[in-house]
Amino acid sequence: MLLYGIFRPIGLTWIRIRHRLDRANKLELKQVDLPGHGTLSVDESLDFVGDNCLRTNLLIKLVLDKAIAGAVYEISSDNLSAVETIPFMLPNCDCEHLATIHESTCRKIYIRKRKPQTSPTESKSRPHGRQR
Amino acid sequence: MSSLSCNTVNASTPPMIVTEPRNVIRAFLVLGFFALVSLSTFVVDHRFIYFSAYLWFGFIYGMSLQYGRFCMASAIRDLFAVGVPRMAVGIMIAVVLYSLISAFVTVAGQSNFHPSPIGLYSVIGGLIFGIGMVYTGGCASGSLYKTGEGSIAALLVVISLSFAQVYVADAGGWLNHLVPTAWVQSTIAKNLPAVITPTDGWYDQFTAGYIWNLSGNTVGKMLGFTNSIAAAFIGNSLLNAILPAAIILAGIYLRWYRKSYLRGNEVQYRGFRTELAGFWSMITASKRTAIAGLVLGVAAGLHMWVMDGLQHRLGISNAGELLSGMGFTSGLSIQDTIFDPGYFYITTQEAQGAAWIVQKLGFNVMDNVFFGLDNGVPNPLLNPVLWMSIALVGGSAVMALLNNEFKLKMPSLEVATWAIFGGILMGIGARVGLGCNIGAFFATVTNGDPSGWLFCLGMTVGGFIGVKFFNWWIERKMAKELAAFDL
Repeated sequence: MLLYGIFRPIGLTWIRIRHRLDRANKLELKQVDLPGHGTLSVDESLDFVGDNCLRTNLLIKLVLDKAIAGAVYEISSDNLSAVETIPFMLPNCDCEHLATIHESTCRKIYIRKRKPQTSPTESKSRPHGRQR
Repeated sequence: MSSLSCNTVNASTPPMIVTEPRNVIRAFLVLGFFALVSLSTFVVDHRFIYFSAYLWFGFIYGMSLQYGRFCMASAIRDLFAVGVPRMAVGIMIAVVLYSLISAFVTVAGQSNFHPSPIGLYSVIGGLIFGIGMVYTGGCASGSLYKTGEGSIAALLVVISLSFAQVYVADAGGWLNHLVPTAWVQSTIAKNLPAVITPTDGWYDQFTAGYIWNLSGNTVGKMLGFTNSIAAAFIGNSLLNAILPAAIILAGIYLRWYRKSYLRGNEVQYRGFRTELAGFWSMITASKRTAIAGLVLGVAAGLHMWVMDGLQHRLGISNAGELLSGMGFTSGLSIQDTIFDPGYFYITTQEAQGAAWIVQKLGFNVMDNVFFGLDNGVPNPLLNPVLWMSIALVGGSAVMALLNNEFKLKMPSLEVATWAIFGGILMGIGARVGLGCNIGAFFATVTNGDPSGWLFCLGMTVGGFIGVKFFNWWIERKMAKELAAFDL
């Protein structure tokens, strides 16, 4: 209990510093060049490398459900099962799958939250839930 | 700006996989190792062909499972957690195909399938197994193929699952107090050999005093079909596998797929025609999983055919006879048998492997019904069914290497803890349910045994509970982290 009392403030301060550093890094938006979509700014990068599939899928769902329309997400995961499932869960989160990048250490999946009202031409270009 | 044009793929174009030369070499090394094992053992004694048959079917299972990311945990978890039916659909495709091939094998008189007794134990075992597999992130077969991909967390699942089974099968002591009197009396009445101490051990009395009193049969026989073709194709395949699978698929379509299909495609609704198109779209949504289901179903059916054919050819009914004939009598059960199902199975051989290690550490694991009377504890190098599991890992590794997907992944402490805890639950569930997602579900429902659906029911409920708990855990953790920033 005493040790907890000593180390807790240190731990919380460290978390706050890390959070601020992360936020500062995020202010500089990353840009990616995706075929068929041109150059896009990544609003948020989510790193799930090392996580199991359930945790990866659930956290992504939580984030995407609350995402702002038009926001682009970059998701890094080395869990092949999760990588395979993510494109299929996007229609339920009102998101679209832009691309999956094969990197040596992980896969990077690019996702965009759809605008509330999509034009018919846009939705026709993406047959639902179909893996190609 | 970071440009990712190199090795970049669009969502609408399939990724071009160019296998790295070193991965091709590694894949061939793995393949070469299994080929060498097959050839050299055959040269030593031609009867090792029986072992090699298990080995190569295991290799095919591993390749198919890895290719389709085929996993029962994923099937249940993705439905309840994120509403994705991809894997559940693939598994139902495999069930339908395996049942059709099994019906052919049964009609040809080449089936060595034995139905399990029907009872509540299947539901309870499935429930415990289902909760465990959601925590680990992989079912029994899924953990094996993920081990082949280089996941150490999956290896931890396999290890904890194996040793948990040994504990359940052999533990006595305080667990004896949990045995109902009726089971004790029923066990005593069976006059089992004293060497296996049948009244010492919860699992012994569960098996001898409860399970053996239950009866089970295939649907074809239950319905009294006298014609073997009707029994196999109508009773076992159509009524016990194809119809339930079709009902489950229809349920999945209505609950998880239909709404988003109609919304996503903005189709003009034409009644049943549109529904049928939507249903087909769900079936073909993930070609990869569907193809894996197809290969797995056909291979599992052929496996039974080949093993039964080899048994006839070698004049045996159990691999224990082969081992005795070769002069290897150590580790055989008191009936001179070892575990030899003759079809796709996962957990029992892993328990045997763990039991062999426990025995080498000086513990007696043969004084029980599970190992001492039924399955034996052969040397892992002489356990044909364990050859299948090892080759499954190898097959998965080869497929992963050829797709540049092999990666040695060390788990975080949290992932490792979940893997071990979930693996223990899976081991307990597998023993209580007399098998895992393969032995107690996949291989049973496809051979006309309705007990598999009871295990599936328990596994689904367990999966649902597991997902709900995990969701609560994650949200609680996130809320805690966010609260820390507000301080």
